[in-house]
Amino acid sequence: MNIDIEFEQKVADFYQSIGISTGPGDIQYRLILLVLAKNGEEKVTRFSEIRDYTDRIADRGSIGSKIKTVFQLEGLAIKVGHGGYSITHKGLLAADFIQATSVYYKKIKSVEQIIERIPS
Amino acid sequence: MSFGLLLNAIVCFAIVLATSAFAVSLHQSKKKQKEESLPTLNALIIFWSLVGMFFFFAGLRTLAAYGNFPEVETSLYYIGSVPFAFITVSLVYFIIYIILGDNRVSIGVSTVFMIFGAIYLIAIFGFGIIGPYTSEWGSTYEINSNIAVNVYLSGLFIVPTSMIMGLLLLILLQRIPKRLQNKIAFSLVSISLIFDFMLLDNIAPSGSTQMAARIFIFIGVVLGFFSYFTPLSLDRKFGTMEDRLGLSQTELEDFEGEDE
Repeated sequence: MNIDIEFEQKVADFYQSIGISTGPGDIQYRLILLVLAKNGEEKVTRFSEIRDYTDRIADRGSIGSKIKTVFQLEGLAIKVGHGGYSITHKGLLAADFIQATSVYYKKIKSVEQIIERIPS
Repeated sequence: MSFGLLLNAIVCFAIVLATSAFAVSLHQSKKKQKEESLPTLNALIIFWSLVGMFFFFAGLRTLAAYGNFPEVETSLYYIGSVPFAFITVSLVYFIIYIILGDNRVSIGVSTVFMIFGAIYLIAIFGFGIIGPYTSEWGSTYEINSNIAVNVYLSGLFIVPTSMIMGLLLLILLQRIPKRLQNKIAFSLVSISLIFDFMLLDNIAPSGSTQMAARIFIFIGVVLGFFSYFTPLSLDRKFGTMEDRLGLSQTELEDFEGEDE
């Protein structure tokens, strides 16, 4: 599973533009969840690996805080050792939902592009 | 000769006028269009121009029938077959480009229909036509080739009409602004109406059927024109909720921060 940061940013911007600022509209949430889901339940995801994707959009502190206050608190990920995280079954469900929001975004954009190509 | 033929010719020239006005108006609206819609706009201009061109020769042909010049009539039928055979090319480009947005694929698919058009013309010119059968309301011909009729029905009409219907369904099933949806739907319905009645026009068994088909084509052109250049009164009637309520974004912003 490839994670395209620019695409995820566009998807998050789209959801924010329709008033959804958390979950699908939160770029930090999207990226953290997708990196965790990429490694799956079996593999431990290092914090540094998450930062490889998030450094361009947020600082280390806010990512750490997001993992603690959202992912760990809601049981989407569990801490494994020092600086390691593993996604839970609940987290995988959330990742599926995030991927579904990308599909919906693509559908909306493709319709928008069709409309734009029709002379008005 | 009969007054019906003259009326038929007048309807043809009315179609020519309406399509010319439509094509010119579309051309003038080019500056207002987005860059993405320019290729489809050009295809649409070509489409309406070809429809106009076909009916220009059809009108002249009907006048020739009125004046009882069968040779001139036959020559005009052959000339009119050329724009008729290639109407599908611009239409297919229009639909494929809207759906895929790929210029190369759109040109490729429309080239296939250009080949269909060329086969139709070769069959028409090769095998000839039988007629004219002039009646009170119109003048018809019989195509003396099964190949031409089959190419014409399957390649030039059934496939493009299915494409229009598919695109129409795609647009109607989407959540897009009602005004835009109406505009696109009316435009596609008008194209489909014209297309189908042109089919009937060309294979019409009698002059009266041909006359009826041409009246519907005229209605279709007018419908197409109004779908793009809607009069202000109609536009307001079918306008958005904002227009109907008379609220603007600035007015809505006035409510911000107010306590209930």
